[in-house]
Amino acid sequence: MKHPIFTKQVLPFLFLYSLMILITIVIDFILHYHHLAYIGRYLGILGTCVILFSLVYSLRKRNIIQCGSPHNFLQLHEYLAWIGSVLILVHAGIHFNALLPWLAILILLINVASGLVGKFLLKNANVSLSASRQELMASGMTLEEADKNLFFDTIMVDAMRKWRVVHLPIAFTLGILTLLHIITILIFS
Amino acid sequence: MKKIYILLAIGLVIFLIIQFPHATISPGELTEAHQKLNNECFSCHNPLRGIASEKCISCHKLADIGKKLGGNQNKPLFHLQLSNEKCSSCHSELNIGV
Repeated sequence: MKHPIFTKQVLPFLFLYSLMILITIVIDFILHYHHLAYIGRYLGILGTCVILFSLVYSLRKRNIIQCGSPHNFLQLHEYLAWIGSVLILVHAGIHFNALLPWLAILILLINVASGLVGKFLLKNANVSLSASRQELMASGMTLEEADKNLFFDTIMVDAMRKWRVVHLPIAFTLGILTLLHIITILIFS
Repeated sequence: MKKIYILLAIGLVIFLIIQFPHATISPGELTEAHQKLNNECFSCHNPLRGIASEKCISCHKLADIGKKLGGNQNKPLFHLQLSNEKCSSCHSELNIGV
């Protein structure tokens, strides 16, 4: 395999991300087909609650709460944030209305991508990269030669590392936009 | 570094709200008859209390609704029976894609 990081980590990542979009389209289609599109309104509330609940991981990570395994909370965050995102995407549907909620959806999509990169890709990619490097060095290459050989993978891991840094600020932006969206809905309901 | 991103995010939101207040929160244009109220959301909306029927009725008198449409003038006017109903239960004046 020429680029193991791409096939073992990037492709599954793309699959998970595409699956989120696909499931959204299928649910949206079913709701519209059965004239139940109004349910989408409530899915937005449900999705937001699910994502907010998943943020318990953030509290554990910062030791604000001290019980439970951080690893389990991280897994909970990943699953619930993904499910919550699907619910919110269905809530948004494919309607181009006000700018604020659309910006929130765009930021949500970016944030899911950065989150998936953070956990799903980066850790595995780091392990995979150093395993490949060790393998090449064991076959007689110097560190420089091995790195030259793994140039594409190294660049990709570097990009992932940078991408992960923006997860929290993007989440914060999403929080602000969501809050404003909720306030405007309450004011103009 | 993260603080810079967060400040940028807050700045972006404030910029949008100041620069494009209407496009930022309005879900669509009003119907043709109400176009002149397009940027005056509070003409119909009461903050936190929804759309006030009193505001509709202040322009559209219940006793007059339907008169301009012609037809049988002796027929009882439909809207006169609906004084306790919310106008927005039937009428949506925003063109929102569903």
